[in-house]
Amino acid sequence: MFTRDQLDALQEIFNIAMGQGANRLARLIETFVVLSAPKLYSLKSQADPELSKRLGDTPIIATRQSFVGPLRGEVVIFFGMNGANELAELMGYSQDGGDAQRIKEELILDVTNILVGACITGLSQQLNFTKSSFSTPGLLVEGKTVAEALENQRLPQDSEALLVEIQFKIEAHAFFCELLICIANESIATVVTAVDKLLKGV
Amino acid sequence: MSFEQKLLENVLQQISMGIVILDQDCRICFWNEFMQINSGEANAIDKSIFDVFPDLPRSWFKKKIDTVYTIQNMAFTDWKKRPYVFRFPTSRPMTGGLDVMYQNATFSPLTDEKGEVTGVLIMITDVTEVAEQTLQLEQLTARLEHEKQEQKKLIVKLEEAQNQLLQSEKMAAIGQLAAGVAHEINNPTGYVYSNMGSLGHMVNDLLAVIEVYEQQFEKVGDAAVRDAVNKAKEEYDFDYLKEDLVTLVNESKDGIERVKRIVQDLKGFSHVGESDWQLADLHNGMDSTLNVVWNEVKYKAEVQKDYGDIPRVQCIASQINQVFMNLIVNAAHAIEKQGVIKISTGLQGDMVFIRVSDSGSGISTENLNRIFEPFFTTKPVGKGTGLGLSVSYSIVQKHHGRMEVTSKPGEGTTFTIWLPVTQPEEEAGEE
Repeated sequence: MFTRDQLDALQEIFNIAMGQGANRLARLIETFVVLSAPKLYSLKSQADPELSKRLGDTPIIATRQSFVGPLRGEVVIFFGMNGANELAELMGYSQDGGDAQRIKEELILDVTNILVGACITGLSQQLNFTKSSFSTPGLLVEGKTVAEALENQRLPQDSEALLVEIQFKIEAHAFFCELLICIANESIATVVTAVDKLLKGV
Repeated sequence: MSFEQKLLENVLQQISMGIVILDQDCRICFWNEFMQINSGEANAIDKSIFDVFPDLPRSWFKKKIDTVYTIQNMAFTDWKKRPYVFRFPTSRPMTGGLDVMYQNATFSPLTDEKGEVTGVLIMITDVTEVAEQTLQLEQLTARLEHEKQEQKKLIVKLEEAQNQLLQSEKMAAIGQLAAGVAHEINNPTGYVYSNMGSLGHMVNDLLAVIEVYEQQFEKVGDAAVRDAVNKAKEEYDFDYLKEDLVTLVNESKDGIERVKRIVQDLKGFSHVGESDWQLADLHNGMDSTLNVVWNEVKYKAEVQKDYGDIPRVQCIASQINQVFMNLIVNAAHAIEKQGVIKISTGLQGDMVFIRVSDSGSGISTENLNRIFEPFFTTKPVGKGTGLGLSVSYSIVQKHHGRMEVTSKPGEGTTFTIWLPVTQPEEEAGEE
């Protein structure tokens, strides 16, 4: 488990990383993006009851994307079910035909890719790791509650996970999501070492 | 070009996936043989990608390229969400079921030594094979799911059928029991009835003899004898005795006659040994049934009969009587205090109808659709099984007839049974 100091340091790292992410997102969709300061929680595993408690029992869309490199793991993002439509227009999906559901899903995957990219790239840069590579993002569940969503997933019960809660607003539309950054056990030591090195340097 | 560069170029050209490099304005800087073969465009270099692929969704694609430039990060497309980026003919033209090549695409930033993005590398993977299989699997799953639902419905139907069967078995058992009881009562009733007849005559004879005695008694002069007889007459209330004896005998005769009729009707109703198709007089059946259930009806409703001229109908009489019973009992139950049950019959073409109307509480529209469902009842727990009408319905169906219902809440309900006078040949033979 991370110590208080390590968590504080990681909090700072994510502040910077997500700030960069929001900046890039704003430039991409040419709209003002407001990002709340990410809140960090350390979880013992994805099945931690804290997660269900924080996300409640409203239906969600969950996506996942893997990252490989010096950091190995997966990010699971939980989105609220609505709020995607306005974003779709900003992301250039309006003139593209096809059914609304598919567009929404593709959009959610695009946002997942951007958030995960910003988050993990930022983390790697701050910790002086070499670049990570990413897998295709995928849809994990749709229209279920967090408890239901996690029920049937074969998630390791003993791995470390960071829950990063971010909230971003695009113009008038609040878009809310939670990032669950799950770092594989073999990478945890690397992160701890890098964070400690950073703390000593301060 | 050095050997390594040549080798690399060769690898890029030969690799069995699409490789395209675009600059920020979406101009093609490089593309390999895979792209050339599938697009049929030989001179693509320096052309805009939108000129080579006019049907490419422009704003979406531009945004994708911008994403890679601004976020400096990879971007993806998934065939499940977007079957293809570039419209290429399928890689399974003969055996496949799809007409386009399904693709997964990865967009990667190409950076220079300063970390600036100089181009976007697009890698196209042909996933037609996987897509075919996945789509087939999805269809199969959908079909299985559909079949599962159908089977579920069938199971429910089967359960219903079984319950109806149970109910009709039960009714048959009750019928047999009733017939047995009726048969047992029939004999004692027979001789009590005939004895009562004799008793009536005998009482009359006896009274005639006593009358003679009375007349002769007037002439007796002995005061002691007269006193003794008058005393006895007074003590036993002879005048009342004389009157009441006749009344009692008449009432008993009446009573035993009713017992006899009910026993007869019970026998007629259950039709022991007559579960075969027969030509039956429905009016007789209706009257017997009315007698059997008279107890349920008599305090509630006045029964008005309007029998038309109908021929004998080919039916299983005991089952049709069961239908009559259900309708009459339901009609009586629908009447809260006092009302009228009208029973009319008639012939239309080769169908006869039997109509039972009540002036009861009626059935609400939402319940009207459900009354023939097994176990549907609005009666309090323990009062109704919810099977009466569903069993009736299936009996009428078995007779190739139909059942109609009209109802107005607060005004009453009318059930009409339509039965063919003769059954289609093969069916009647089977039973």
